[in-house]
Amino acid sequence: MSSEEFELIVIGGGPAGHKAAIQGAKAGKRVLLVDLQQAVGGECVHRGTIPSKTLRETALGLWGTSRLAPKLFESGITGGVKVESLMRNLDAVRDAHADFMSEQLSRNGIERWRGRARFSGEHEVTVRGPDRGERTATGERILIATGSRPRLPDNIPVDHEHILDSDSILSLIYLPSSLTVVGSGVIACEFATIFAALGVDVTIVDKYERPLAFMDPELIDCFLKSFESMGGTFLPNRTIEKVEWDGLTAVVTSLDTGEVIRSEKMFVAQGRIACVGDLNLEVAGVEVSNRGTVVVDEFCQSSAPHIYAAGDAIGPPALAAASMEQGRRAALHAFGLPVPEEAGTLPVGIYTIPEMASVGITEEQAIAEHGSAVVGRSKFEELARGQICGDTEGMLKLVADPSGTQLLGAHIVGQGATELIHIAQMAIQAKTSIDVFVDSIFNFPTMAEGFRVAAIKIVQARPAELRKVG
Amino acid sequence: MSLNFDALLAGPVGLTIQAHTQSNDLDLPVLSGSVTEILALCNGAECDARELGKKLERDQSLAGHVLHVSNSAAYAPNEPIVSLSQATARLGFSTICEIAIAVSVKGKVFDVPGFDSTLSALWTHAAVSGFYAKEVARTLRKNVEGAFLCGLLHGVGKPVALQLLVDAWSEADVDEHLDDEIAEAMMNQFGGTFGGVLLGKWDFAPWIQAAVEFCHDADSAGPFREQAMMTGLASHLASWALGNSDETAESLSEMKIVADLEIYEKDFESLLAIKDSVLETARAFQ
Ligand SMILES: Cc1cc2nc3c(=O)[nH]c(=O)nc-3n(C[C@H](O)[C@H](O)[C@H](O)COP(=O)(O)OP(=O)(O)OC[C@H]3O[C@@H](n4cnc5c(N)ncnc54)[C@H](O)[C@@H]3O)c2cc1C
Repeated sequence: MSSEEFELIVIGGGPAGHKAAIQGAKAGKRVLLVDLQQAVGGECVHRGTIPSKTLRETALGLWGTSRLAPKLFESGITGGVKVESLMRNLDAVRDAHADFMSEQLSRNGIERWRGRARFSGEHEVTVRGPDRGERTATGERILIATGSRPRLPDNIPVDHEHILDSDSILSLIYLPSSLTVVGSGVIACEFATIFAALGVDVTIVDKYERPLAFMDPELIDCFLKSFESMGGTFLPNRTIEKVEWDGLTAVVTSLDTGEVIRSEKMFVAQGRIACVGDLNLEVAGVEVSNRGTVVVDEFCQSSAPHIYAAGDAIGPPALAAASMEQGRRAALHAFGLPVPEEAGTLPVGIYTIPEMASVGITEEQAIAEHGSAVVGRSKFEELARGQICGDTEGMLKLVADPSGTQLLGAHIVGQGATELIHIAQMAIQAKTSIDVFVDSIFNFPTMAEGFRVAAIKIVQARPAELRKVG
Repeated sequence: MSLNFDALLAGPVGLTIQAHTQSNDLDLPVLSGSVTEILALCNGAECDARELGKKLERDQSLAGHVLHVSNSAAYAPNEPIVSLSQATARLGFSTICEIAIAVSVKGKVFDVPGFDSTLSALWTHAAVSGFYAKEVARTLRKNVEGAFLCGLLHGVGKPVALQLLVDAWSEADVDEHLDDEIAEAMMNQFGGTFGGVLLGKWDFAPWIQAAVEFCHDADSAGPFREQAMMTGLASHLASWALGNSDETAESLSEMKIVADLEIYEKDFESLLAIKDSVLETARAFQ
């Protein structure tokens, strides 16, 4: 079989692979992009970020309206509601995004093959299509961007009928009356709150004390309060002993505490595993960690110097934006082009209801690193916009250095958190003084005013010689 | 075949058929009252086993079938199931619902006098398609609920088409014998469309209607293309499993629909490998 030659072969067309391919083409290289699917965008567009956020947007709208106009929703919104009808615009959103990405690939002259790629030599990749046709390509440089898939625990029989994962939950045909969520990471909490907001009786079960342990504890307090106010239950420190479908109406979950939970459906979100098992990486000399991810350095270069890896295939943070940036950096480094310094701040956005976002370091980390920290908070209920929106649980927390002048971190829960966080991100990156927030004029009424309120509190808490009230 | 199907459509029989199809004047079977009630009960938020048992008891033929199916190998009872509440408890509401639909559809639709063996083969194919559709959905990590009905009902329009042909044939007073090839051609030509119309009349969800109507022409199924393809593939797998077609495992795996659904080799082989268990499960519905 003759092999076609490319300067860059990218395996996987999700955010990481897509950006790397474009960057390679922009550098004038001949690029091949291989993906299992014809549609561009990877899991992110087809089973991950985009579909879940589309469902969330509808849930958020309904939930927001139900809080502002409770009379409209007296009888609740469950009971026969089709999840698909809640995602009515999903196809349009997904197609628009995929078309845009596909157009970018064509415009940059990137060749695309559909099929499952595996290494057949150090520089050679064999691609077998779903039509069983096989082709081979040789690449000067190769990028692995094969993403991840849900991890299915051995003790839970995921059948995609009663017990679902993050792929099959998106094709549920009606809203269940109750849902047990296993896990309390990002995907678990996002879906738990989406379904709770839609009126489903949701119980989260996890072995940990608190959900989303990497977030600021005050945000998690607000999150839990809000989840419980939607009728949700969080059961921490529990181990699942057995899960079975009772053959009648319920998934029965037995816990180590002796408790038994019965729910119409179960959603299992216990992390994800990198899709690298089928790649035949041994042939290429690529090292894989004991967690099953490709081992790379800061430039995403693997143990085989001509092979790079990016995105979920290399493990955390496993976020779309981070994956894109990794893909871009990998392509630049692969062709000896200047690689910009790694962005100093990586914002985290969690699309729970209410949403949460964070950038920089937490209060705890600031104290550990600087000996102390000055903190300012703004509760959304104190803001006109918070009252108007009915968002009275949200809050914004700024963490400054011991002198109360330098912003080190920001943590927000509530409406608009994932957008608002970028204001703090810019301030941290530009190393602006906290006073900028005090001296700036914010639109009224906005949640962004919270920055000013929190900053004033920091200024007031400054050591006396530095104090200046705005 | 003494009469060519195209020629037939151009003659008096065809005119009668056209008149019925164009004016939407099809003699469509209705689901029995008890099945409609059971469907409503199972779809309701407060589904109650005792209530379901009572509804089943009122329809003797349905009750008999439920007991028969619950005792079949497909559901492998450890001990014989003797009562309806025991059956409901063992099989669950959704299975009872599926059985109720299956039994009603079989009796009401798959019944055209003179074509017993054709329809019995069609019915077997429907049941196998139903179970294969579930497995196709599972392979694609899609929710398998609903897939069964799409598979089971994907040929539901064919007997309707056949009945129309039989009626038009006798109205036109054709001398010739209505042979199986013409019957087959009629069912293939109109089966999909009539299936969609029938399910619309029975108030099935639009995506089930589309999956049935366009299972062999998925590009016309609009937003429900994937469901239509899954149903179409289940139908091909069923034909292969039953030995009804010339398909081999290899030719099946090379079908465009397999590539379009992006089912890769290993997954497809797993689908082929479960043939015997699918056939065994489907036997319960015969
Ligand atoms: C439910 C859910 C919600 C999420 N929400 C968010 C969010 O709100 N914000 C956020 O930033 N991130 C979110 N994520 C995470 C985000 O989707 C991922 O971090 C991102 O998709 C990773 O991009 P990637 O390019 O590494 O891989 P992917 O997007 O997974 O793409 C990998 C591609 O590789 C292809 N592939 C795999 N193996 C092969 C092979 N052998 N040959 C050829 N092709 C192959 C696959 O077909 C796929 O198209 C979410 C994820 C999930 C599951």
